[in-house]
Amino acid sequence: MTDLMWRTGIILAILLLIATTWYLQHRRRHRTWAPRIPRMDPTDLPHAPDPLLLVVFTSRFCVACSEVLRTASTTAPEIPVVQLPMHENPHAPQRYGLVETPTLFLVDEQRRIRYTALGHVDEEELWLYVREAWDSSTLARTITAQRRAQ
Amino acid sequence: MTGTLLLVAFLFSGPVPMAVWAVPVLGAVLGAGALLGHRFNLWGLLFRHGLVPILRLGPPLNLKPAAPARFAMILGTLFLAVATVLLLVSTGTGILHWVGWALALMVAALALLAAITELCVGCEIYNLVLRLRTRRIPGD
Repeated sequence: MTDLMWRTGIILAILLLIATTWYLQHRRRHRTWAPRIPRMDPTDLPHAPDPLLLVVFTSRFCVACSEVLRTASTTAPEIPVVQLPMHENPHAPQRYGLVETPTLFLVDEQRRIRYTALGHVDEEELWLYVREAWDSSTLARTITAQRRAQ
Repeated sequence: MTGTLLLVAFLFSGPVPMAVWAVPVLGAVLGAGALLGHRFNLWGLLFRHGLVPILRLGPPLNLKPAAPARFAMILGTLFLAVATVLLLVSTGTGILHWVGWALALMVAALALLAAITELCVGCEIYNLVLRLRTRRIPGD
């Protein structure tokens, strides 16, 4: 009986460890985070996006980084993707308040950060934000062109 | 399934010493899937031909590369093979017996972790090794 009890205890400890890992991962995926500044610095992005750009902050040995780069390229193929490695941009964590890599920014032509994703990128959500930003930038350009024509 | 069955085998290996044979059997099942591909994975076959038609499940929403998962299965098979040797060589007690079970429980825990949280440690090791071998990464 004692033997069965401590074996049960070990199994429960393993299940508890798995449940804790699940909880921490769940919390990590759904936490809200916002960049410290609303626009990307021109020193990080010398050329303004035309009209949108996906910026991915990566680091060495970051396994998820290549996956996020691939997801960003395939979800919105018309939008260029720029990779900013941490070791080449050591000021970025302080400047934008980055907490992990990969971190993805959707940046518009005024360098405003329209959408952010930490770690995991939800393809559907990214597509919705890209579409919304694209439509609003297209509309803004149309209105600007019309006003210039008048 | 592998993780659950290994935990059940560990639980009952005290009163039922024959339960230790679950380790090599599950290792063989894992090894078949690793070496022959996912189409020969017993649990995958049971799922595709058993649960899918019964529950009328549709195709998966997204597919992942198979190589990291197969690498993880190979690691699991190796661990279970070593655990099998240790369990069969030992006499039911002693350090070798518990080391063997520790290896088997490690495989069980990681299998359950992958199933519940989608966190595949073997896959992460595969990707890390690949990344270290491929030193020239664009932009890095």
